[in-house]
This record gives sequence, structure tokens and C-alpha cells, in this order.
Amino acid sequence: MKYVCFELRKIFGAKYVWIIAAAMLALNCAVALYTANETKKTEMIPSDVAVDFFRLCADDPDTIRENYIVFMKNIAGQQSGEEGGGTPTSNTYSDTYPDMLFYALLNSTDTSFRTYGDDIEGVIKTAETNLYELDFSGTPHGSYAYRNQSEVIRAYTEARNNVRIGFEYPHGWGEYFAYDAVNIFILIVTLTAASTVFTSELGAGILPVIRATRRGRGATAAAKIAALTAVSAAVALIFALSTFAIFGISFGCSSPYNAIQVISGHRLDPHVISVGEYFAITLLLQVLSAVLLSLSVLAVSVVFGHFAATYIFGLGVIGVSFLLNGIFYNHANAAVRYFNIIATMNADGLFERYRSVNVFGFPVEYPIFIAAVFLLLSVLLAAVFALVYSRASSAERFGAHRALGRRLLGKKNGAGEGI
Amino acid sequence: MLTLFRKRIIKKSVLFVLAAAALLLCSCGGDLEYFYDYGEYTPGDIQMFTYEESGDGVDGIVGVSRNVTTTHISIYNGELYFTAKNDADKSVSAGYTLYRYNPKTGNITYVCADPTCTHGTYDCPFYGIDAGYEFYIEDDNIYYRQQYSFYADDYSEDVSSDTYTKVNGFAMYNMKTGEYKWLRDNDSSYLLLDMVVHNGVCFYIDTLNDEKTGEWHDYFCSQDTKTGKITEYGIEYTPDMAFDGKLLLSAPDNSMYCLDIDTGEIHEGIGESCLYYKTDDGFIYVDDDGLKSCAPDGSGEKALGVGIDDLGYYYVTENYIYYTVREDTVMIRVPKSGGIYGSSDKTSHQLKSVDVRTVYRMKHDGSEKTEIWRPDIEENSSFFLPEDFVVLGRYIYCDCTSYDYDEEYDVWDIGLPDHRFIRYDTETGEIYRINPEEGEK
Repeated sequence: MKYVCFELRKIFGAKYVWIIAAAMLALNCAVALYTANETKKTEMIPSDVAVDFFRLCADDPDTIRENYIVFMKNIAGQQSGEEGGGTPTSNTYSDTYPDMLFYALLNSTDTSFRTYGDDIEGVIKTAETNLYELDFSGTPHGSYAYRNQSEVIRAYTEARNNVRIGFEYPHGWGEYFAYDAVNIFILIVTLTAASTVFTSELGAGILPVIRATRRGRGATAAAKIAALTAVSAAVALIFALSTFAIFGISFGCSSPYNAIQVISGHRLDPHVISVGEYFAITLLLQVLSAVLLSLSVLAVSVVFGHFAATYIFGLGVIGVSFLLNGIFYNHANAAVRYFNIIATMNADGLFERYRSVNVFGFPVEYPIFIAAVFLLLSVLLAAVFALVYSRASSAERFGAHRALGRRLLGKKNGAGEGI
Repeated sequence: MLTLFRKRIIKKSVLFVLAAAALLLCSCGGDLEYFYDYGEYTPGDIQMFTYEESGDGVDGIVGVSRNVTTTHISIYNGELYFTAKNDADKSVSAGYTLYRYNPKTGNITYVCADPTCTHGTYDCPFYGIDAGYEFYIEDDNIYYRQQYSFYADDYSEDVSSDTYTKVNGFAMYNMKTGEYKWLRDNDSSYLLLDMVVHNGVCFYIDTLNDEKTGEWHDYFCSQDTKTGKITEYGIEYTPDMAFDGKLLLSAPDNSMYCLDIDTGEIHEGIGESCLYYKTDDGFIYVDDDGLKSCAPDGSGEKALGVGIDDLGYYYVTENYIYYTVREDTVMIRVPKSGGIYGSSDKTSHQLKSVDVRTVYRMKHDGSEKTEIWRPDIEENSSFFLPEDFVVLGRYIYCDCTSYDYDEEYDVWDIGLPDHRFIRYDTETGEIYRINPEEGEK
């Protein structure tokens, strides 16, 4: 623990880490605020007004139904030119927004929730027909194609039977989940912190000295890994939660206990989880991705031994991930579309519907597959770092004494030779 | 001092963020009072429908996996593949997608194997499949032309926008593995036609500009789908069919040539013809005189007794040649130019003569000519007129237009399009409508 604290102090002691972290946090807050404001402009009715209306619908549905019937009669009366026909642009629920908008919002939301069961049934029936046809054509039951269709049936039947959609106006969460710029900021700060851990010691010339000490290898390497993991996780959480705070303040949040399927884009999500649980999953994926990037940078830094090279490598990883996530794919199952750090941090693409990877003939869902691979890679990279870091040759140790000597003597060239 | 200041800042920032997030989580909408009830899902039975086996088939026939009908139905591994409007998209602007029809079960399934796919976005491998163009199936690979455009931001309508993306070219989809491969863009030219695929090499016509003369020509080309290598042959031949490492080509004057695919050499073929079927007995083809057959080596040319003026369409199975003959005409009411089908304003319509084709069949040697399907046109009734078709077993799967009788005006109108194609039972004369939306009736 002492070593971990020392490593943490070292990371926090670097001034540029603070400057970049503060700048990125401020920039993320500004971008998130701007995005929230732009999204608010597209709202049919402001979310707080809509929430009040939906609460009214839940509390007194009979009155709303009667009002709606009168509203529709008024429209019919006006269209046929009958006398006594009221105005369809009446303002029963708000002075600013006409009833028509409220009813349109209520209808679309209610229809979307009500028809969920039928839509999922459609998916199950399609998969059942596919399975029947595969059976008919003699496709082996052990093949990926067969297992995948079976898995779709299983997952969606479970969703169909267990998803409980509660009536409410969903808001806040969808807007938060859709905002993905935060991930770039998280990765840049993580990269900066990770680049510091090893290269700062190397640059100062004290690394070989540390290595030469009794606990200067295995224990120090483990401490570095633990400290960096903690910092990466903290960075991811602070950025994600501050973003959530901005969107929460801007829109408010609907119930975290409602099914994730209420969020637009997650209708075909086969997982029986609540919005709050999905939120927790996205945080975990963000942490996992940040940790993976930081460990890969750490592993590379011990090989390159140069701050600039390490930083460029990290930027390259972020850039490639960004490109893979952003470029156009005309096929949903293009694996690289999801199998990269940025896409994993966004999470929405992985969860919006059932998608699987063929692992030795078995279908494995993308979120599970990616989480497993990322974890495995993280462990592997940590092991690589620990191994390379711990292997210091006698020449390097000797070099350490020379470097130290140079520093102590304050001479640039040749000083300390033979120490 | 600075360290102390940093620590305070850290603590305060982290505490503030965590407090704000926790506060928001706590203040989120609380317990929900009303939940939607979807009941329990119980799987339904998939019913087998009536299908009678027959001794006839198309397994030994070369030329059937190329969709030869005008509305593109192709047979592969005993199933029918066809393009139709995407049933999952109920909007008027719904695009086309590729379906598979199992004639033995009556099931129609999307060839895209993802049950969660809407087939209405570029996520789907068959989104934007060009329904006016043919597709080809070989070794579980479907080769097809794909064409669509979209705006990444969904709002812009400016084609010069950075978010505007246009997709136009050839694609390949493997039905076993689900692998999708983009074969080539079609940016430089504007037409890719008459596709034939043999051993993974795609032959087609591409409209290319001759740099010397500046003129545009329909040049015969090929692309190896494994290496991506494109060969432009610089000749205006049309690929007709391929077998045993050979590709038959027809020149604009209908003279035939044969390309040795391995060596790239082009030899003279077996006379003047186009649209071949290769059977175990030889070739069946049409030339300027009519329907003919010849031995595998091109010798023994024999007229089969159906003149070019009578012949409408033909299709070859292992046992028979099915063909249509124009034997009658019927007057139907069609809208005048600019008019609308089904409009209540009957004065904007005019009468038009339509050919009535009768379907016959005969043995490959021209013997045993038998009438199979003569459209039954009686007043006060509806009828189907067969157009192009494929034959599998004892059933004819046929592009058909239906006609309804209008008693008030004593005339036939074009019926509502309630089918993608129909199945005609050659033994019983029963007709079934086949529609992706409703299944078989």
C-alpha cells in the first residue's frame, strides 16, 4: 500500500497531469452543456412540462381520456364545419403548449410501450422460422448459425416474459447515454497519467536505482499497475458522473428502476435490466476501457522508454479507435465496429440489440465477449509491464550508477565514468 | 503549500461530483405505479402445408441460379430467392430486400439471418439491393448490386454535404457464415449488367469510356472476387452462362463465343444464339428461327418446333422444356398517359390489347408437347396471365398479373398487386398467391 501511495503521489505530483485533467474536465463540461442545450431545442415539449403531464395521466387517467375525447370531437367538429366545435388548439395543460402536442407525445409514448410485446414476439417468430428452415435444410445443431438463432429465441423470450415497462415520460437518461464526447476526454487524461508513471522516473534517471533496490522490481511494478488502475478508474468515474450531473440538471431524470427498453434505441435490447443497472454497466465499461488504455500505454512506455513516443502511441490507439468507431460500415456485423475502445465506452451500440461473435461455433454476446477480452488484455499487458520492468540487466544497473553520478556531479559529459 | 491546495481541490471536486450525481440519482423519478402487461409468450406451431414431390428438378441444369425472370426469381438448393419490398418497413418508401422461399414448407424468410434486423438501414447486408437488377448465387455466396445513399446527420438534404454518402457497386454475402464483402465501387461507370459468376470470378458488362475515341461502350469485364483483380476485355460481348471452366458469350450480332476462363482465350462458340440452358443432353437455346437443341459438342442442331414469332418465354428442367406461346389477346383497361391505376375516373382510361400466353411443355428432344396452363378468361371473373417463371417439381412459380372484371363497364382492369408471384400446380391447376407479408394463401 505504501508503494501504491507513493506512485499515486508521483502521478498527482506532475503539474501537467493536473493542467490537462482540469482543461479536459472543463472542456467536457462545456461540450456537454452545449449538447444538452442543443438537444433541448429539439424537444417538442420541455421535459419538466411533459413529466408533469405524464404524472397527471398516471394519477387521473379517466380525466385525461375524457379530455382527449372532447379534443377529438372538437377536431372532427371543426373539420366538418359543425357549430359548437371547439378549438383543437386549446391549452388545458399548459399556457405555452397546445393540447395537441401533449396528446401526440402521450400517444407515441404509450403506443411504443404497448406494442413492445408484439415487436419482440415478431423477432422471436422470425428466429423460430429461421430455425425451422435451418432444421429443414439439415444444418447441424452444433453450428454457429443454428445456435445463434436458438440464442436469439432464448434471449428475447426471456425479455418478452420479464421486461416490465412502467408508464412514465422517459427523459434525461437517453440524452446522457447519447453523449459520447466524454470518452475522448477520459482517454486523453488517462493517457497523460499513464505516460507519467514510468517515463518520469526514466527521465529523472532514478529508475535503475529503484530497480536495484530490494523491492524495486516486483513490488514497485505491482504498485505502479495498481496506482494507475485506480487513477484511470477515478478519472473515468469523475468525468462520467460530472457529465451525468450536467444532463441530469438540464433534463431531470426519469425512474432508474424502469426497464432499459423505455430508452429510445434500446427497444430491441434483449437484456432484462433497469435503466439504473444499464447506467452502472456503462460506468464499468468506461472504467474497463480506460484501464485497458492506461495499461497498454504503461506496457509500451517500459519498452520505448520515451515519453513522447509513449504519448504518440496512446494518441494513435485513441485515434484508431475513434476512426473504427466512426467510419461507415455497411454491415452491422462488422466486428471492428464494436470491438474497439471508443465503441465499448459508448456501450449503446453493443446493447441496442442482440449481436453475437462466433467463438468456436458458439455465439457469445458482444458485451460479454468484449468485457472478457478487455479484462484478459488488461491482465496480459500488466504482466508484460511487470515482466519487462523487473528484468533489469547488470549493465543497466551499472548505467544507473553512472546516471546518478552524472546528476550528482552536475556534469554533462563523461563525468562519473568508472563509478 | 501547493500540495495542500491541490489536495483540497481534489477532495472538493470529487465530493462535489459524487454528491451531485448521488443527488440526481436519488431525485430521479421514483417508483412506477403502472406497468404494461404483455402476458406470457407461448411459441406457436409452424404448420406444414401441402407439397407434392415430383420426379422433375433443376439440379443438373446450368443457368438457373442466375435469376432469369424479369422480376428476378432464382433457384438455389431447391429454394427460391427473390427480391421484394421489405415487409418489416410498413412505410410507402420501403426499400427492397432479398427473401428466400422454401417450396416444401411454404415459409418465406429474409436471407439476412439476423432476426433483430429491420432490413431498412445500411446495417442490413441487403439494404439497397437493386431489385431492378439480377443477382447470382454460387457456393452459398450471393452476388448482387447494392445502391443507396444517406446523410450521416439525418437532417441535411444537401448532396454536397460532408455527411452525404452514396453507395453503389457489387457486394457478396455468404449465407453459411454471414460474411459480407464489398466487391467494388461503381463510381467511374454507370452501369453493371448481365452478371455471371463461375468459381468465384464475376463476369459482367460495364459501361466504360474509350479514352481514344471518347465514346462509351458496354465492355465485357471480370473481377476475381478473391483477389479483387478486375479485367477489362475491351469487347462488347455479353456473358450468358458458365460451366466447366468455360464462359459462353454472345456478341451484339448474336454470334457466340467461348472464353476459356483459365487461359483467358476466346474461341468461337456453337453458332448464333443467346440465353442458354445446359442439360446432360447438350444445350437448349433460342436463335432467330426459334427454340433449338444441340449436343454438348455443338453438333446435331435440331429445331424443336416452336418458332421465334410464337415463343414468349422458356425454362428448362431436368425432364422438360416449359415455354409460353402467344395464342390470343384480351382487351384490358389501362390509364391514359399520366392517369392512375384504379382511379374512379374511368374516362381517363383507354383499352389496350394484351397477349394471352399459354404454357406448354415438351421433352428435351421436342417430343410429348402438352398444354399445361391455358388462362381461363371468362366474363364476370378474374384471371391470371402468366409471364416469366421458374419451375420446380410440379409447380410453376410465375410472375403474374391478375385482372378483375368490371361489370359496370364490361371490361377487365388490372387487379390489385396482392402477390409477389404465384404458384401454379401443373397437376391440379390450383393457384396460390405468394406474398412475403402474408405467406402463402
